[in-house]
Amino acid sequence: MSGGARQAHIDWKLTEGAFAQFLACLDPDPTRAGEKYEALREALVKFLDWRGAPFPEELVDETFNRVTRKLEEGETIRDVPTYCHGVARMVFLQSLEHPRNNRVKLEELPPIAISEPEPDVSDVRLECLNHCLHRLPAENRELIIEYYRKERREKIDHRAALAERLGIPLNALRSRAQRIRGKLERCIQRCCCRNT
Amino acid sequence: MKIGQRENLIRRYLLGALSEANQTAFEQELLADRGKFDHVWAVENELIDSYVRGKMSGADRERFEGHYLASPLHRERVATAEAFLTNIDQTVGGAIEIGEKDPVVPWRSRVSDLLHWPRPVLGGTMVLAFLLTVGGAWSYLERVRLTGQIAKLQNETLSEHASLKQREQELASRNQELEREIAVERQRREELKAELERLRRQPPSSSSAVLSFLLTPAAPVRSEKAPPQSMIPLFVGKACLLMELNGEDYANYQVILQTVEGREILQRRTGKVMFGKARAFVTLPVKAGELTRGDYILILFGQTTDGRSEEIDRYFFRVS
Repeated sequence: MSGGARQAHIDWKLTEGAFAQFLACLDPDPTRAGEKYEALREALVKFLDWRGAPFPEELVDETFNRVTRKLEEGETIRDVPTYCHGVARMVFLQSLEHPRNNRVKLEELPPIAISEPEPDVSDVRLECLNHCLHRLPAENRELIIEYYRKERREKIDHRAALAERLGIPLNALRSRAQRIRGKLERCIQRCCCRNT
Repeated sequence: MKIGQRENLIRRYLLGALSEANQTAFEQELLADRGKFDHVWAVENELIDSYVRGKMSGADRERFEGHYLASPLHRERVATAEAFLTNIDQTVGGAIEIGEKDPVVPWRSRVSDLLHWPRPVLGGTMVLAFLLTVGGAWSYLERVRLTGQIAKLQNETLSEHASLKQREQELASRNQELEREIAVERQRREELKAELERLRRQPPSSSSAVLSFLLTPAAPVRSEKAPPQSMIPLFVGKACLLMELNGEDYANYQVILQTVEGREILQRRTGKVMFGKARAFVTLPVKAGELTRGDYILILFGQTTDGRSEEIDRYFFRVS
């Protein structure tokens, strides 16, 4: 890429029109396009998360920016989700070149001499957990507590019974519990950031 | 693929044991099938839970710590899961009680051991107490602020709702008024339409219009130049023949109408009418049918106070 073209790409800003064009490629119906966008975003974030990216959401935003820019430039993309997945991988690999994103194994972390007492965040986290649990709707709170209560064989039976009681398939229960857990995690993360 | 194999593949993916090509292919499969994606997510949670509860096998734990926990995001997730599961495991009867029980921190203890970090307990406790105090105060203030905001929003919503309701009532009332006006107008239009129809169907009235014709006196007696003969169209209904008096003043007047052949049509006494102060006319009302097409002579007589009749003028006219 030439210097001028690279500068043009850096200067490129996502516009409402370009984003609408991107959504339209996912589905002609705006509501369904929005749903597909959310699902695609969630999947890509999780893929990069599972690959160990420290800031997967930022990388996925960059991915969507790149794909949207391509569409705006007139490129025809047949399968937008697959294309986005390919771009996301590339963005992730590029991000590894950045020192901020280098993965370090726990064993490889250098010993740190701490002169000041290290603030123990576990109690903050407990407070945050309590806070975030109570922010959940009562129905969701009960569901996630029930879902993760038991262990092993007992747990499987317990979940089956819970699904039956709620009148939903086990898969749907699992999916619902995961989403609540995801929300809970994000809430706790935000809460911990504020309180430490 | 059997369930065991599938589960194994997912675990290998999550623990970073797949090649880049296999990883990519696997993700594309997940992208196309939401159910499979959810399943991998569930297995990830199972792995975390199993690690936190100390149920993971040695090899898996090594891989988990070597790969999965290399990500700060994952470490955060595991810590959160630990806090959550510890509380659930310690809870009896489903009620969550936080802060009253000793936390079980197996994974973090292991991490701490790994790093050999010094932990001055007293200092940590003080910092923690400070953080809790600040956090509690902040939380209280935030709650007060949010409660105030919620109350304000609720008031605004209620006020807006009442205003909308009033506006709605006004509009409904105005609508009713307009509907009434429209109904009245519609009725009036119907009445006018019916009236118009009735008038259209009604034959023209024979008595409503009275045509007046001013007759010009015959000339030979008084002038050398004959004026044009009066022309009257054949009329339907009533008509009135007017003869202007030029200064003559009699007690009574009489007219005799006859055809030019001398056949008398009528003979009547009649009066005088004044038009303003200067002009006077003798009038002769005639009905339709009394005059047919043809030429006529009208002779005007004045009756003196001693009973004599004097011819005033003769009028020739044609009905055509």
